[in-house]
Amino acid sequence: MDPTRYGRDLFDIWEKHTSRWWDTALRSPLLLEAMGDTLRRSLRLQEAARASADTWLRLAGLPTPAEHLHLQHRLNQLEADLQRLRRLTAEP
Amino acid sequence: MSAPALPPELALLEWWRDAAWSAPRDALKRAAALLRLQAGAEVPVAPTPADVVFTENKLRLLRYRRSKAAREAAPVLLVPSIINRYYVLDLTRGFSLVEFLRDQGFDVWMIDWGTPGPEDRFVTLDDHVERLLLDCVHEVTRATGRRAVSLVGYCIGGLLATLFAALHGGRVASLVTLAAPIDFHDEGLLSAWTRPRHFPVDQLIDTWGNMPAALLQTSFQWLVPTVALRQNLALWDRVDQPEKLVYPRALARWAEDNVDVPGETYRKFVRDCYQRNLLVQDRLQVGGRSVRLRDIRCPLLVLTAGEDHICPAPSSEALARRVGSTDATVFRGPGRHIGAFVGPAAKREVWPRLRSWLAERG
Repeated sequence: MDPTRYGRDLFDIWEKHTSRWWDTALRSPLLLEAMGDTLRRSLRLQEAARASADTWLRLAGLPTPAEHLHLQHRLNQLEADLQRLRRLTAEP
Repeated sequence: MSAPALPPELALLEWWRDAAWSAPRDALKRAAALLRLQAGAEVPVAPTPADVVFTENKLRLLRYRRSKAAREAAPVLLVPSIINRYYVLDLTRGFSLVEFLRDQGFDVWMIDWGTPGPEDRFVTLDDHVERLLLDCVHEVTRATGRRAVSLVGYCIGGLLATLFAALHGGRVASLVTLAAPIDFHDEGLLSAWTRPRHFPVDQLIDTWGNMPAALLQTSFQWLVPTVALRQNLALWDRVDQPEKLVYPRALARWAEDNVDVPGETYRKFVRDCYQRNLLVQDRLQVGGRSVRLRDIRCPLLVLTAGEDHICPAPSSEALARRVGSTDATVFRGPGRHIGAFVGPAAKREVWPRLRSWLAERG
């Protein structure tokens, strides 16, 4: 008699049923719509906060974080283009 | 002469006495072993020695060092997913697809996409295919003197490799996809969760820039929430056998080492693939061109996992029915999205098939 084996068997049964229940629950349009709405509202708040911060930065004549990132990205692209050109010219 | 059998009620008492003594003792031993394990050194990951041959922004192209002569086969370029770290294909000693292929005489290369920073939010899916992957293939062919490479793509890396093979057929000797999503309107939960009604991807990327790794990981954990518990139970069972814990510990280390996904890449991936399913309709645009899967004419091997909840097998297998190649093979192995390609089952079922297939088509 091995009590741990019964424990494992019980766990397997529990896991099978729980997984099935979760799968159904996580497909439920009710739940998905509620989560989608919550996400939308939270994003709208964050976006408003960001837009307000950007306005203040512009009023102060400073670049916004997005403009910084864009510039950094363009520099990365430029570096890659230069590297590509150097490779092409070095090839016979 | 055997001892006389005890009456049943005494046997039960005896079992109960033994269990009452041994169970707590065993639990204490396991707890001590678990503490020793956590205090000890981490399992080494990405163990196969490699040279960095090429870099671009955060990307590194790795070429693995060989100890014996290479086969007369096209170089193998491994294209990992962009949502996790590359070394899942070189996980740890004994569980490394890279090591296996290299020891079989293949010239193995791998792309490490790197860790995107906030400024990489503007890197697109098209950039991944038409700039980064194209540059890597160019570098491999230049270094090896071969005209084409064998592309082996895992998960989203498989999707990128497929897009590349459709657009640059002449540079691909053969294509292997490991759990690569192709038909996105499948029965999986990810497909249900990313529908436009529930998932405002544009708003999300406009606000957050990159897709945060933590959110992606949480969503993967929610696909099968009991998996973590099962893994912890398995750890408890084997805690006194450290040699059996090498793979799960390396995998756990990899699973905690996540990267953000560049925002524009994620936007296109969700909008054009998951929501509009454009790839299977030949309407996905990459670099200003439509990707037509029938343009893939090289030999194709599609490897899928029977219990894959991230990329259901039918989603991957759809590729074999749509390519123009006359040499398309599908194999559905046991296991889930990761274990089927890097775990013990992969070593038995998937890797030998991959080796033979590549050797025959090399």
